Amino acid sequence: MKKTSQLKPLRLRKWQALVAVLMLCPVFLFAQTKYTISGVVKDVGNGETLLGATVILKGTSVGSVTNEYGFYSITAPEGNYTLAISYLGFTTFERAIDLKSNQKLNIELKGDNAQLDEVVITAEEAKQIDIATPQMSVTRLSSKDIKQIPVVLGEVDLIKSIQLLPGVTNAGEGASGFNVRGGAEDQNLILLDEAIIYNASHLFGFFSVFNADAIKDVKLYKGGIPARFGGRASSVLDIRQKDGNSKEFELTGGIGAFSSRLAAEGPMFKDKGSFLIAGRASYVNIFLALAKESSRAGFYDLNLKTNYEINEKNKLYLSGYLGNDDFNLAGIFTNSYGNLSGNLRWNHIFNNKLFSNASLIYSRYNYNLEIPIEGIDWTSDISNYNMRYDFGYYASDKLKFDFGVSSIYYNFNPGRLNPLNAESGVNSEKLDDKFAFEAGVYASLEHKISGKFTAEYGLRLSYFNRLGKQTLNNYENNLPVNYNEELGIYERAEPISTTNYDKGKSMATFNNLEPRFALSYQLNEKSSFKASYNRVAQYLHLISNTSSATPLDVWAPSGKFIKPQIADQYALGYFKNLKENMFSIETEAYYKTIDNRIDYINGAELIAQNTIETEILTGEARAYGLEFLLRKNQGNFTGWVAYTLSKSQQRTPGGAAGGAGINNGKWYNSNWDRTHDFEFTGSYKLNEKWRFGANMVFQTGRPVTYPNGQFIYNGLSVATYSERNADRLPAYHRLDLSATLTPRKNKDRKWQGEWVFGIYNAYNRSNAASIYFGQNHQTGVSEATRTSIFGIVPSVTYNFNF
Amino acid sequence: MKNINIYGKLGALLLLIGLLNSCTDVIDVKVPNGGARLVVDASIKWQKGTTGKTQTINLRKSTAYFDKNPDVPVTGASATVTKENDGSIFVFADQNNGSYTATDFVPELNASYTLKIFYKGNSYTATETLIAAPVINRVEQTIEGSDGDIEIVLQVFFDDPGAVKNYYFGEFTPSNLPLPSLAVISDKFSDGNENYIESDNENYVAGVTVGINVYGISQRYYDYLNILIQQSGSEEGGPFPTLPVPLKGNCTNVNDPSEEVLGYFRLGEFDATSYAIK
Repeated sequence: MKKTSQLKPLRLRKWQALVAVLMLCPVFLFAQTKYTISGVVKDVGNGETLLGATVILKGTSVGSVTNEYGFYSITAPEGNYTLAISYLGFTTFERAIDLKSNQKLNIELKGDNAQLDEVVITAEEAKQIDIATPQMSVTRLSSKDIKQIPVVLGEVDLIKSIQLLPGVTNAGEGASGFNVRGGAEDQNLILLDEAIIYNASHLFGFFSVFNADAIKDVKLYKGGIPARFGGRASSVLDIRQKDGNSKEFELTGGIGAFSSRLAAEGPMFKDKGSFLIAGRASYVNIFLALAKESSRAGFYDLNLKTNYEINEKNKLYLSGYLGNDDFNLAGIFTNSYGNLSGNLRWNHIFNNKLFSNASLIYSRYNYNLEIPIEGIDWTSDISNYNMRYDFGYYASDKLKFDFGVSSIYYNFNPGRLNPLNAESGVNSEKLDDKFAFEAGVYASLEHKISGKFTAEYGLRLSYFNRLGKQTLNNYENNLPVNYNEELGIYERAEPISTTNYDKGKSMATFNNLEPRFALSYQLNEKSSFKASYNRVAQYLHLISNTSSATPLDVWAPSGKFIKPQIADQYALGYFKNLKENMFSIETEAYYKTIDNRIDYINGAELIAQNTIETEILTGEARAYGLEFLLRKNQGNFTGWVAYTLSKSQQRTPGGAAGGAGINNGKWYNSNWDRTHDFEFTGSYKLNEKWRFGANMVFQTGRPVTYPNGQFIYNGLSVATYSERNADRLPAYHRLDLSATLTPRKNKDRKWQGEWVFGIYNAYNRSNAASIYFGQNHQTGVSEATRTSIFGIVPSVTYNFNF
Repeated sequence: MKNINIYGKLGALLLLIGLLNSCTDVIDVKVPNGGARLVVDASIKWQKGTTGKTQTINLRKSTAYFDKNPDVPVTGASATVTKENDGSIFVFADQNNGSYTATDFVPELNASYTLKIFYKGNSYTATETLIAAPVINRVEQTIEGSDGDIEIVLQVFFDDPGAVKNYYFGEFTPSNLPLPSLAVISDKFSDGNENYIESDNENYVAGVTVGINVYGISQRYYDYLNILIQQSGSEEGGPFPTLPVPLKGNCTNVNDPSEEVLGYFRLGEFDATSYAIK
């Protein structure tokens, strides 16, 4: 056993050496007597690795931040320095370093409420924008930040929180997803411990699938997407689970109005590792039963994580997630859906400059629905196996390389229909399974050009191969959709023949070179300008033509009829820290284009559709906007004000199918276009006992299409519509309030409890989720009916920890 | 598949989750006005076992969406229907109230017909095929939902011929409502089986008699009706609406193809029955 475990790294080391030599030639130009300090930064309280901690040699420009596994490595010329490691909410660690050899230094930081120690203490490290690195358009929330966000509906909610940031919106209450910088809901890469999550919502967006007790760190990339990510056009939401307390056993939980949660963590493997297990379950059902409703709705989820340190250089992690939603609409309709994911990771530190991580990841999303009266039983799922190997090479004080490979194998089951019972009139039917393989190779170099300029050059090569087994229809002139000149409508073509592809046979392949570039220009210690460009190819498409995506929408891979979406984004920004980092300002402008965005012909039938190609046309999308964020980072009052002015549009010309296209080929607003988007979130600590929070949201109403006339046909009065999304719902606005009560008796005892009182939509605004135009059944008069989902919702939660 | 409004059902679920404080209310909205357009409400309906000689079509103008008097008849037009296989022409005489009637119409299954309308110097045309209707086997009454939340559903059964795509249109006219309820289905998932077309309505209560017509229709008309039903009062709204689209029928202005002409010219055989709700 021991032999094999040593053999593998050895072989890889040679291979790595070769790559390093090839890639790092410029490094050797800087050869002089330099030494490296490396190590891992952890929280002394619970042993959690701290990612994103700042590591600097004071008085120099040498510095770094810890990576996803808490690892850092900095290199400097021989000499005497003061090493400083800081992290929000922790006291800064400082130590004098006599650098005359390579050193290994693992550091444990103390929480700011810990007692003084032999380490030099500076003021609490405040959150500040990293003005030096070229990375822009990113927001990071640590578990500490997340806990400070005002609670909505009884729980801290990650997805609702990121929607308070500039550039992030959604298509209304009840929308399962979110939209980043005018991008669609399917253009967000949502990663939970690297596993792709296909639907991040519980109860149709009422809650997100992420349990705040199990989460360590969240990063949202709205632009300037690093080369190691690929596959989604608009954003990356990178969520990391906690490793679990490696110092002592700990229980955390909360009993809320709608759901309860419990997390247990503690050391394992004789202090060589730790575990975390966290679960949540809802009891909305009790309310439904009390209200004498025969319908049921509920969810549960479970997060698991464990890690094992083999030795100083090798560490294993295993993480998993399982979540499910179940609904029953008065026996008419039952629906369940859920995500499942697992990830096995191996961290290997080759030497003090080269860090690596290999991951084996599985994830799946599935749904089922049953309609008893129709005798229908419908199931669908998407699953993928993902392998990736990522490296970080801290070449010198000026250069840092990231590079790696990734491959994903997808299996799409768009749907299987079964008769639910013997009386059912439906025939068994299986939509074609689809298979695909996606690979990516990337390299990225962060380069400190001078004291003022830092650049990041990245390149990703992505490859997508749509695989058999599948039978595809062939259409005349290769056109699955035709324009009927006479009637002025798009119609499905009838297949003229079929082509069979055997198992594993390539049906269509795509390659894309995706350059990523970012540059920062530091004006002074407090402010900088940044610019970035990224190209990202997206090979998967969510097939949905409702105003917002639903849990039942099906993912479709690129292939003969659907081309990959290609996004190009340019962004410019100005960043400034003010008043000793008390405040920070971030302003950004962006312009984004997306090629090959599909849209749906009028009357498209997407449910149980085996030939999606006959329902779609290919077009393009564009989005641009200005974002402004002012944060207050310190003091009893913290929070931010965000404002976004933006535009998001789509255009779908007829192309080869003929005709002018959807909406006569003219640009139209996307469903999630919000001209103005204003948000405020704040938290005020009155004293040790009370803390208050508030969220305020004001947004332009989402685009809708209103009727421009009515006519009588077949005894009915029918609405007729004109240009797509030319009108808007009334403006959306809302105020949430929360108050947290921490009893005084908490002090000096193991059991820590707190009460959280919340009011969602405090002034009970009836925000329109949709407006429906139809005829009153009784009177026959045409009328507009507004649907609003959440009125005022009070909540109480008791949280505990011991 | 039965024309299930899955999104509607999902929407109902979501509203439920709105912890019972979600609401729907009728509001005032300012809507655009696309101006008056010609509406061709031309359905040739041939009941099984009849001659089908007398047929009426209607020509109207569209109105602003919230106009309280949507029935604006078009008079002074001339309308004919030509049976393509023998060239016979049936003249629909202007009744001066927006309706135009022929008394010598000859229906023939699977024959192609062309409607021609001359109105204010413009010539409008549309072509369709007369589709056969199935024979109604029986009507069943069932309930949907449970406890206090139930609706009566009528299911009208008929045999679907196998190995051919069929589309059906059901017209349900309850005695206690001013509006008919429309439904369409295709045999996509039930080809060759006994199919049914159904209608549920909160106004289906004991004692109400529902007139039922079942038509065979073309695929193109099925697509048209499908959008029309989604966008008219026949279905509830909800938070997951599909995007409304212009309802493009099959009538075009020969002189100016860009003119928007509303309505549809279609021909269908039908079987009829009525059902008294128990």
